Amino acid sequence: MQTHSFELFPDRGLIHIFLFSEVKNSSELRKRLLSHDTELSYAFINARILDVFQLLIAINCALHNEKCSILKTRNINSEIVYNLSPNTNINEALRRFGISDDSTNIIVVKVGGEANEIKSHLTSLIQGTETSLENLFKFGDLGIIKKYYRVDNKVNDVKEILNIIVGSMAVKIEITADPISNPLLASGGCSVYFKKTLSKLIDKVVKEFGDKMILASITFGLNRSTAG
Amino acid sequence: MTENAILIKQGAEARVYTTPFLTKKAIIKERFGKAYRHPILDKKLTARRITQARVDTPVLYFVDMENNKIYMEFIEGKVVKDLILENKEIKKAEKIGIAIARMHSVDVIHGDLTTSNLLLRDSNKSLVVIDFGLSYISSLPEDKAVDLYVLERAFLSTHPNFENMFAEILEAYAKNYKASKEILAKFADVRLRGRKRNMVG
Repeated sequence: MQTHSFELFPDRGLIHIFLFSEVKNSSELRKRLLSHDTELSYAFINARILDVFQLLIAINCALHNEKCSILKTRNINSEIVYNLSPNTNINEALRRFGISDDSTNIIVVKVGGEANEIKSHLTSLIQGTETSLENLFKFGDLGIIKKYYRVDNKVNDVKEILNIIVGSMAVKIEITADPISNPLLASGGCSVYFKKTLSKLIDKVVKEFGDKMILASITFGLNRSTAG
Repeated sequence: MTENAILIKQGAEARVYTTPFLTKKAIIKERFGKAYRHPILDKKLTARRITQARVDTPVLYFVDMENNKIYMEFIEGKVVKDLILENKEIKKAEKIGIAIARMHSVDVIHGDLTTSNLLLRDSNKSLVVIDFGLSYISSLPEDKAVDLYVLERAFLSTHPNFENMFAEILEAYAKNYKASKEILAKFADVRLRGRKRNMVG
């Protein structure tokens, strides 16, 4: 177990993080979560993440959204899971980072509360073995992590991968737009493509007609800011 | 913000603090300029692109849009400006050229390239580009050329005796960026006329 205090949210108390391995009743837990069982007011996370820091970033974001009343999901717990994702698709985030029926290694996060009480409650809930979070790296699946966060296959340094992950969580983006940062979704990025084509076109014309073009562009209300 | 945040820089548009943050040391950049359009939103795409291009920049930890604050990695390193002034390790030209080449290859224009915005990481001697506050996305060779020109001006004013170094930077830039030919041609134009465009008519 690890306990963390969050600098930005001192009112929220301590945040406790547990790691369980050899869990046998994930499907039961998941079913109860889906039916919004209030006894399970924890964030359940699939333990195949890379590092605790990654989780801390997600928790920090969730606490922030809660404080500003801009939760995107039902509650603080689902918000933590959601914030592990690099994009804004809630369904996908819960599926990828929450627990599934066959999860055997799971992380449980509890915001607030008293560590020992939580621990005994969790041991009664979860049929598994509690283990130190230092073992987390054993459960990470680099292939899946790279896929989820769109990390270039050439990048193999774990530290660098973690940096990319944390960065992409911090700039959680809408699924659309940018063909370079989001190559798989390039087809959805027509507006950016349009802008790019437009700016290329303007550049070409500027090259050919030089300064006359500037006059023309002013006349037509086209300028660099609309194209750039 | 935390009580432990220490103000380290106060500018016209932003304050910069250091603070402990989630087990690490972090930098907070707080924007308070009023004419700040879309505070952080349009920086998101820039941040993504930059990571994809593998330019070493501070890792973003947390973007607080409600309070216009950005939390990012604190870099243990030295400012390139100081290194040059101390006459040390001037072999950084190639690294600088490569970093700018990578940045431009994904159409990110830094907007304020100076030797104060370049750091050298202590741990692995990697060149870190910081302060994307004036950055924007553009594929125009013109904009990239102006970006280079800004660096040249900064270079000549802060390090008048290091003209060679800037030439080396350009060389590395050209070598590591396929589309650089057109940009360097534009750069020559920009040099003649200055940063601003000619307005005729």
